[in-house]
Amino acid sequence: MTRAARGDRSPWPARIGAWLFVGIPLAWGVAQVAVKSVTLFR
Amino acid sequence: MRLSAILDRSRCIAPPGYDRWRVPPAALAIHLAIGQVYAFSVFNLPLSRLIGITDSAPGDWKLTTIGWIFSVAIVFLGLSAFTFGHWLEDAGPRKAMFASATCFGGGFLIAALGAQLHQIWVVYLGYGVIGGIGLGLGYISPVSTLIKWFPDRPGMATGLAIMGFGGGAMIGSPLAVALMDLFKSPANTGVAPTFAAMGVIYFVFMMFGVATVKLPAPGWIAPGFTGPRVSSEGEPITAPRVGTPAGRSFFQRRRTAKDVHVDVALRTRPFWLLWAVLCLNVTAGIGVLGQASPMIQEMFPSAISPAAAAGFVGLLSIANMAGRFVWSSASDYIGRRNTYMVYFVLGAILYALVPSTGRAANVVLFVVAYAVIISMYGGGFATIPAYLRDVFGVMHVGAIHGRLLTAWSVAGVAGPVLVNYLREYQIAHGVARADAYTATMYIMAGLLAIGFVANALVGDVDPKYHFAAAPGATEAGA
Repeated sequence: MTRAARGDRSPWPARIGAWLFVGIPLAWGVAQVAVKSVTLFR
Repeated sequence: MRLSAILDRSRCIAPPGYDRWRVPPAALAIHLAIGQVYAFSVFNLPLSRLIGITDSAPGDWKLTTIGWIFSVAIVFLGLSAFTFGHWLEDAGPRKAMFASATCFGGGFLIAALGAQLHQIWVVYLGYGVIGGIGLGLGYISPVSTLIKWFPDRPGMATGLAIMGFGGGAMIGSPLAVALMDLFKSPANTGVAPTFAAMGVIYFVFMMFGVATVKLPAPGWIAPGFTGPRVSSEGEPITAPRVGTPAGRSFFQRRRTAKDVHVDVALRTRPFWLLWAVLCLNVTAGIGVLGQASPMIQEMFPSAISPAAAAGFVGLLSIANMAGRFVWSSASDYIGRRNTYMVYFVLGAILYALVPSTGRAANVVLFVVAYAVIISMYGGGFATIPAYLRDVFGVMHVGAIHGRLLTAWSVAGVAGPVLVNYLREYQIAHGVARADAYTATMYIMAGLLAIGFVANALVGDVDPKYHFAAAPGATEAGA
């Protein structure tokens, strides 16, 4: 079932923007830790 | 318009057609911020050098004194979740999240003043007490909201939010280091301005959650579900339909359509069994999480350097965060009870195997075993709200979750004490450092076995405790 068929009328920039707002800091933090984790396998 | 009116529950009811996938980012904004508490140790050394700057000077705070800041914050997390859980169900998520942001951001600002004046009690009051209250409010409010939006996939929804709490440390730690580097000078460690900056940054970040959080309207139908039936307080109750994740699972435990009042829930046997389930699962994970770095170095003395041990800790953080989402999402398909069965059985087997990996000098197996164990530790936190919702209904799930978090406070003390004291005892009695964790691992396996039994005993709530929905009726069982 598509979003439109379900009656979702939220604009897509709002949806994507909300996820980017929290996703970018989280990805940055995970990347910092992932880089540090590499030392375990050297 | 008055602020209280803007934040009122009635003003955050979603309009028809609102996309429920816009709500998890609001929840994540809160959890990513308050998850910073797990990274507080990054301030420990700088706080111990506020006078000496490059090294501790006479009059500087000791590390043991500073360690209490984190402990006080966690205690007040539990206390505020316990105390305000019922209030936030009535006040609504926007007001609760605003209170959380104000307390958490304000706590940082007061702690900045304490660091600047070198008054430890001001830091305890700011970050510990006021910030801790913000932690408790911010932890349960988004979880309770998401459960209402995703009655078909509550495990996935709460896993998303609680994953944010695990991820918050990953943001908070490098952010604090970067800010301290920016503000430090030959005469200042940069801690006070970093506290102040983080207070403002986190307040603004959390305001995004406050502004965008929505509650489903009474009678709202979750997409793909038949229903709805409306509960006693206007919350949606939906019945699973064949073809949905909840409907097609053979192993899915049936969910209650009957709500239980928070005050009544504490009188039921399932509540205390679930309390034991959470406490035992957390105890088994939290102790080794705190000792991960010295443990891997002592078990593999010639193979693991301090830098590699730091990498191991980082890997466990990622496993902890990922486990919150993956295991909790899986619980929507295999059922909450079965998910905890996996935690307890697989966890006990892995704990029993860990000493063998040390003796065999198999670092890879050791790392894999611990990554899985810690993923289940995180999964335990993320799966419990959905488990509570299955047993006690959706009406007061946030408040009941708040009361159950006292199990976390107990485990937070018991786990590290068990691991640290057992290790010290073994070493004092002549056991080699590499073998000093063996008994601890077997005890952890035993705790998980007890947890298995407690989980197996969790049953349905006696109908006499169900909330009476009829007009004018009083609480059943009260």
